[in-house]
Amino acid sequence: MDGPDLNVLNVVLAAAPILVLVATILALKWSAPRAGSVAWIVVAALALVHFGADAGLLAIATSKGLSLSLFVLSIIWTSVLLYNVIDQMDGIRVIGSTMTRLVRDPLAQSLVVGWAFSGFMQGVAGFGVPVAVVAPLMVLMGFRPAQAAAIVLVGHAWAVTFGSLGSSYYTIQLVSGIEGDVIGPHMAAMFALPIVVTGFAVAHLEGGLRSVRRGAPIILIMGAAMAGSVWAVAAFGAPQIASIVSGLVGCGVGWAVARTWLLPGREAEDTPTSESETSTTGDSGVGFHMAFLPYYLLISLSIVSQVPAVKELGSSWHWGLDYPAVTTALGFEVDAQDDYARIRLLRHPAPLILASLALTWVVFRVKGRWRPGAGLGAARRTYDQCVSTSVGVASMVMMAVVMTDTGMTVLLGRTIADGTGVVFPVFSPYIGVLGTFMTGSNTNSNVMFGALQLETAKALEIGVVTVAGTQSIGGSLGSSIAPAKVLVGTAIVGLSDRVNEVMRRTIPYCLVIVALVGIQAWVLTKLLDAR
Amino acid sequence: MRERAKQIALGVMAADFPLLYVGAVTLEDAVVSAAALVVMAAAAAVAAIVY
Repeated sequence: MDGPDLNVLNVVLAAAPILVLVATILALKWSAPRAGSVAWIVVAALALVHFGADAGLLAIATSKGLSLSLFVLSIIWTSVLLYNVIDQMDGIRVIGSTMTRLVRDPLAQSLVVGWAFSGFMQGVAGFGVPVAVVAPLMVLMGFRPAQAAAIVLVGHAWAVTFGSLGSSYYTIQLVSGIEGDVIGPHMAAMFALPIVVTGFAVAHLEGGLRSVRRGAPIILIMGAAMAGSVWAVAAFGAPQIASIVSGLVGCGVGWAVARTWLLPGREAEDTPTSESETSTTGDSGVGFHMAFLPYYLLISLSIVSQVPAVKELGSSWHWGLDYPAVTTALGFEVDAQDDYARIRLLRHPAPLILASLALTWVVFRVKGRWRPGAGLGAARRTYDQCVSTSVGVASMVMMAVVMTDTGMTVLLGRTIADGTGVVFPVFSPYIGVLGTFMTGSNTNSNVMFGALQLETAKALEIGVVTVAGTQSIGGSLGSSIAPAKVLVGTAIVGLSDRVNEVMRRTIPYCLVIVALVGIQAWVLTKLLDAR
Repeated sequence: MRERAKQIALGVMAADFPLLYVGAVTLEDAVVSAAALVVMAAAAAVAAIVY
């Protein structure tokens, strides 16, 4: 494959769009949509003037970016709508308050609510919702505000990639071009380490080394159950619900183990044992199971979608655009692609979420629990929440695809490969962290750096699946220190003027866990040549 | 006004999607492709101002 020569000018110009993003977001404090829009203008100009693209090639790359954006944004819009509908029915408050009554011991509370339940909330909503919902619950449970915000920020970070109904996962899968049944289980297995270590980090935030020692058995048991369920669900082919299922499994296992000798020295538990004692009912008369109904339905539909007969039935029901092969004036070639960013009607999360919503509406109407105007209210709030996100995602995806299709990403990958050599996997997750730190989004991080990481791995001839997974894991863990999320956490617990205090708490944990992930990636690339 | 402009920027980007595809892939027409890119650049410029 030809393309732009590897020289200083080309590398600087190829890096310019990313540098523009970094500088405008970090130094000028621009929002992601604003920075992404400027970065697309910069990359378009560079592609036309310096990297040999013509109007047709640039239009194709931009159109591909919008195809990818449509795939991801349809998940984001529908998952936010689902959350808002349940919130309109008072369901989120019911689910949250039920969870807080499950355990009374502070360490168990921090693990069950701050680690597992926040992961569940990330699974169903994301976009700062876990921090916004769980941090206040922890303050109500008696945690100090800064401590509560830090626990949730670190505690939910394991669930981001497979959270938000899989939007970040699907992004890294699409950007890397690696089949879902390959990267999904592989990345899920790699998540075992950060899942367990975030549990220990939450315990340390709760009560220092004493809580780490005291909580070791329950953390290991919960961590094994959560990591195992993430892998099992991803291997089953339903990665969009991996964080939901593992968050619930963690809550259940944590609740059960916290009542045994495996949590030594626990405070006297008057933990309720029956559902009637644990469940809270909302103002609208909605109980826990009714509030949870959309997620029961979503989990059920996701499982049904994996049944071979259903897969077979829906194999031809999909939508995707075909794109021709293109070559730049510098000789960089991109193969033709059929059904680019294909949306399968019976397997893509968005149709499944909409089906869950429709069934929920029917059940609530039949039971007389549907609040008049709830649907419209949820739709309005979703629209308000998603406009900015959509421009940010679309502009950055367009930028990333133009970079990829004009050879800029390959050039940067070769440069990084030459600079770091075989120890690149150690640095790989920090690139993911940087992307999330800048944009507040694991999805955006994967868009910005996924292809770059992949090309670097290819240049080094090391495991592309491992490196692609490491990018997303780094992006996931970066959620604990991303200012956009820290601001949500601090604002919601009344600490808007103490952002630095919360970040000082979360940054050391993030950096240590990411270092372990980097070492894990380096070992895996040594052991697994092909991956 | 600013909120309206934010929505318009997204709307123009979305509306430009079929124009980009048709111009570059279906018609393979450089003029239509260039026009679609100009529209996208205008939407990006508006987004850069209002966000």
